[in-house]
Amino acid sequence: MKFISYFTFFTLLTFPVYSEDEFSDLLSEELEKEPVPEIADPLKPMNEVFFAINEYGFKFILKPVAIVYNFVTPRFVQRGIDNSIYNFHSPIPIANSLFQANLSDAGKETSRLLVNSTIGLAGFIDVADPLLGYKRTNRDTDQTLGKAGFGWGIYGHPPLYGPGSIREVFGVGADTFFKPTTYIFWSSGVISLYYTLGIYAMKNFNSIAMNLELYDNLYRDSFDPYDYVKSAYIQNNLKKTER
Amino acid sequence: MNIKHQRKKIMTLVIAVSLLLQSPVEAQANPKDTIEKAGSQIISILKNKSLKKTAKKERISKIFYETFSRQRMAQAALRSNYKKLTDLQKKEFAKLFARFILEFYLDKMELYNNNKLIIREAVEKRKGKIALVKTGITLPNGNIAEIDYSLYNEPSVGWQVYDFEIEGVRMSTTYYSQLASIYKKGKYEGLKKELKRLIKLY
Repeated sequence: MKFISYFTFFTLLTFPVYSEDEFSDLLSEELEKEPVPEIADPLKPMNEVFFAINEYGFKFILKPVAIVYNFVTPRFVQRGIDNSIYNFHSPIPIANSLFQANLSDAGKETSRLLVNSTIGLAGFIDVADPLLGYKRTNRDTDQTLGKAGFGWGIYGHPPLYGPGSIREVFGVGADTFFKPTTYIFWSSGVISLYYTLGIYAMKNFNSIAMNLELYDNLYRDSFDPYDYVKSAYIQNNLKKTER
Repeated sequence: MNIKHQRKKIMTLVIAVSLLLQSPVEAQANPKDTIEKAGSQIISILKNKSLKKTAKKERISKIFYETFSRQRMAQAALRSNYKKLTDLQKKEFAKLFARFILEFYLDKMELYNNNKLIIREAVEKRKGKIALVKTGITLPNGNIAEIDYSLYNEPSVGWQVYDFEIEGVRMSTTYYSQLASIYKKGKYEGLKKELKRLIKLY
């Protein structure tokens, strides 16, 4: 025991400590260039309740179902489902690439749609990526609004949705107009909302199942899971807007 | 052999081992090489099927501590609060925080255990004192996970990582507000308690 105490003491004693000042100055300059992003969170008490509900939902419903889903669904099928939904919703990145005056990405997404819908078996296989070198651009209306200078508004964490902002609500709403389901099911007289929500739920559930370990680690990767998710959302969203 | 002599021997051994453990690593020539070397070593360890999980962890830990700077990571994550700690608290926090980041890193590394490291870009900034090395890891499904490393050219040591960003999410930014809030409520003891709690969960 005494040996361990000596060892700890000397290890701490001999741990190198370098000059703080130069690094602190450099770090401050770097951070001033990239300030910590902030988002207004006036609904925090309510968001924290919703966050807890979502976490319980994940732990006791979503995770067990996702484990069974992962067991019975081969990974290539899961990837195929993800590819098919992205392909089906291609008008969203195509339109938003045009709104952002990015003709190159609009062209790439159109090529992806044509190639993947035909050779890629209705979008099940993403052949455009290895064949043409065109990756998904994931451009959407939230990104277009961000690029146009619209702020996030306020932060929210609604049940069954997760982190988001007021701007994202408008973005998701506008994206609906570019989804073929909206028009296909309207014209056939069926309420399209159910289908839109169904596809949305499938897309997100499939994505969670494919990345189950990452969602599962939330409580050991963070001191404050609510803050961690909010910070990750902000940084991801900023990165998306910068692209 | 008398007790006094034996104690002296133990003390000498403790000091020798401690110094050996803390000796500065071989100076790294440039930031790109630092990341390339560490990354390729880690990937080859992860791919080595003959190694047991604990052996893999040990070897990766050694590379991690040679490549990542405990003190600079702590400074980047705590920012202004770092200066409020005593020297002993700084050392202890740096060790605990680095251990937490190592566990975090090992946990994620295991998810990407059959990959290839790509150096996308390496840029030196601030008169060669800071560098950003942008890397990508090819995932089994063909997608590339972007991991960018920020390095500081530590005098007499060389290039060491003080921050990293996984898919747009930066380590220091993500933990800064959480640690600041813990420090505000529980000062240094609060930080220590929370770090120990999370380390136990891995």
